[in-house]
Amino acid sequence: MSYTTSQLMTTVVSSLLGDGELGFVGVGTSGRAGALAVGIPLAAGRLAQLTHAPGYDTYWANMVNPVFDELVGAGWLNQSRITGLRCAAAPPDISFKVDTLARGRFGAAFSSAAQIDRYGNLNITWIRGGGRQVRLVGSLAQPEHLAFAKRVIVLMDLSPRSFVTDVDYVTSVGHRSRGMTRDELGLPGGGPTWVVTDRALFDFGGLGSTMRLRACYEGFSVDDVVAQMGFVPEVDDRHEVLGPPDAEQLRLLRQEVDPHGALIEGSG
Amino acid sequence: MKDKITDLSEAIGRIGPGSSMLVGGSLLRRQPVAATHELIRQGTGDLDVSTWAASLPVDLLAAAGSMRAFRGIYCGLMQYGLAPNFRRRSEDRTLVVHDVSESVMTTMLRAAAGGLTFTPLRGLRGTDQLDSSDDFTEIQCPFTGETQVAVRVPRFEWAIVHGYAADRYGNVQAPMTRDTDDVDRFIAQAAERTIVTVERVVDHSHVLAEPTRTYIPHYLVDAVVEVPRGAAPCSCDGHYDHHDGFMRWYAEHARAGRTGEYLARAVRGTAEHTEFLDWLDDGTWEREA
Repeated sequence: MSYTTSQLMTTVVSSLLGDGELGFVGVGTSGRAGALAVGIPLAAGRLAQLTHAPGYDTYWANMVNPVFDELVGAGWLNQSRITGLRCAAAPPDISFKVDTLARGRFGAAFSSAAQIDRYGNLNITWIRGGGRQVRLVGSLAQPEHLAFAKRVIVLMDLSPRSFVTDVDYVTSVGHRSRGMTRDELGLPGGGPTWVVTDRALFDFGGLGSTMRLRACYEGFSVDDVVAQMGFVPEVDDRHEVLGPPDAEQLRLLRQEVDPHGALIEGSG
Repeated sequence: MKDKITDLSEAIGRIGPGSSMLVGGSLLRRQPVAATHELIRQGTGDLDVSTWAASLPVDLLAAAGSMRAFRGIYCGLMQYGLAPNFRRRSEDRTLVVHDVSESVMTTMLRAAAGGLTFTPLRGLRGTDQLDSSDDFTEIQCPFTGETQVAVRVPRFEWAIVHGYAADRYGNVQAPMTRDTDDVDRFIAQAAERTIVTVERVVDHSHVLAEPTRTYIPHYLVDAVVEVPRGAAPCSCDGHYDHHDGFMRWYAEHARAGRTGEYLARAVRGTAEHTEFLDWLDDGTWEREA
């Protein structure tokens, strides 16, 4: 059965989510960037609920457990659609979410970035080099997600421009910044725990909490993966091959979770 | 309670050049577009602007050269891409950018609301935002000894906010069903003076009947201006969506360095927001490609 890279990534993310876990997903944009930061995490959460984790909860924007079926479909970023979404709670302002985050109440948070390094430091603010600087979106709550969430699942497409030796600007701290560990920096959360890409899955089980290859997707060799990175991740003999999504996962994704591809294909 | 009703020109005329100013709204929602256009019409410059998630107004202020500094968690046009004029001014360093993340901004605003001069935060050490401005320094918690980050609380002289409805005294009310993903309440509390544009002015009896809907009480408000569609072409939740075609057009023109034409025709070339709305609605901008 054929499947898209986004569908595979969604099933991989879904498999990482736990029953009873509270996940946070930010507000996003359209296109591939929006799919990675928002669409795939939302769809993965719903898929987890429909399969192994019925008690998984989503905090999206400033809404707790929005009714997912009212969210999907074309035009899901229109304000009238968002305003009309029913949900368990819409706290009076967004500081409520920020406090929820800083208290460490989010089990899983999702991030994407323009750059990531081997320690999982992320950059969404500035690209700098050769005397030039290119402005990106800012900081949002990404520093807090990496500081406080119990674990952070990073979704990015592999590219030597994105997987870099040193990020140009540390928007958010992974496992080491300025020569200091998370403990030394006083960061209480788990930091980045998984990196889900278009060719492979990584964790930070490498020496000194560096990025380590956990699995190549079927059809990609280790060389295919590493060729798309600006640094060499730790590769040990424990990495696996991740096969295609099973038929039931694909059926749920196509028929129930995201029938129009608005979320995971970034066409919303 | 004092009657705070005035017109946009008079209200915005109170903001002097060089002021520090908070701009309300979040992303494409409830942005004070009419108030921003009026700032540009009046040529109020050298502004030190702080925001939550900024979009069109900050890009317009950047294009008009009205802004010397920016502080915020984000500036962009959501699904329409990055904010091209803001980007250019940041990249060529003619605009000072103070990057702050969400806990910094919510904490800074709440601390300003409570009259504090600084406030401690955890979780920021190791990030480069600490070097992006003089908003930050490290301190030791006097009770636990933990190294934390102290955040300076700036002075916010003005705020401009677009709300749903208010009475003539400035009690600003929200509908029961709305999008709460913003910090307008704290913006009004943090600023020394606040100008509110609203979709409609309602009788005080409406406020008295449902006081829990008042998210900005009148004593925080210095001026109330009724500006229907005051956030257009951005959205006002519960009232209207953003204008998809226009936002696409704006983003394309801004990327091409043509926002000056928009400012000349639709902002400086109009006397008030109703004239801007006529231009937005008649669609001639589409043919001005």
